[in-house]
Amino acid sequence: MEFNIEKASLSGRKAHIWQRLSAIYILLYTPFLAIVITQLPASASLKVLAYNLSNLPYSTLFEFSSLLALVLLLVHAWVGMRDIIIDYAPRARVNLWLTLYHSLLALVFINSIMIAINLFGYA
Amino acid sequence: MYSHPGNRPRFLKLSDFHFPLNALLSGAHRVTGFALIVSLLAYLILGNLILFIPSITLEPTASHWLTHLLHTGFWIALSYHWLSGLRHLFAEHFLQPETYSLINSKVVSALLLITWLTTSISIIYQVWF
Repeated sequence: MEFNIEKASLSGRKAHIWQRLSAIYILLYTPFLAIVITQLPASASLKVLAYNLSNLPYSTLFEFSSLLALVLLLVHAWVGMRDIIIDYAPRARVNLWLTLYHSLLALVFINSIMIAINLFGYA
Repeated sequence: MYSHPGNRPRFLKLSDFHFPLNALLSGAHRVTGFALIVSLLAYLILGNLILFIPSITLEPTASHWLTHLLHTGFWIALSYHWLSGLRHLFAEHFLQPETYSLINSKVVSALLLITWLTTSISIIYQVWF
């Protein structure tokens, strides 16, 4: 994975397409997530919460769609914040901020997968 | 206003500008996007604390006012970002002049704000009561 992000190498058109695709998916996923959350019984621990989630009648759909949502959410967050950094950060430090933000999102992805593996035992 | 040699304005004093409503709503889309990234990081930190520190458990954490504040901020920001994002998608898709001006009209802006405020009240009720 390339961690040093150069502003000159970024494409506006590709980013726009990814931003729209991820937006459409998240637009549909968010109400689904809200419905699932409001239907869940109160859980005493994260393990119980994971158990409740994996015992939903549509748990496979929820798990698969959530994994895809996580990936597309990170893509959406990357493009959105990337544009804010390019627009507002001092020009001399744009590449540094882009690299830091890119690395943060990579850490978020790794940590989210770690938590999912720990909770659902997908090792 | 000072202009950077690269034609980029710098050190903007935003209070000197008067923006139209749609510009404010579009700016709020970015602000809520940023708030969502921050709140997702907070959720991740919370998840790690509960999962890896035995003395921190879900039940007392879930009923703590800070967690309620996080839920409220997250869902209110998400509902605004969702609504204004939907409007952005429509505006990019329906480019015919009549449809485009309808999507960007003050009526639609007002509808967006009313829907968001109603949803926000419902979120506050769901989280706190």
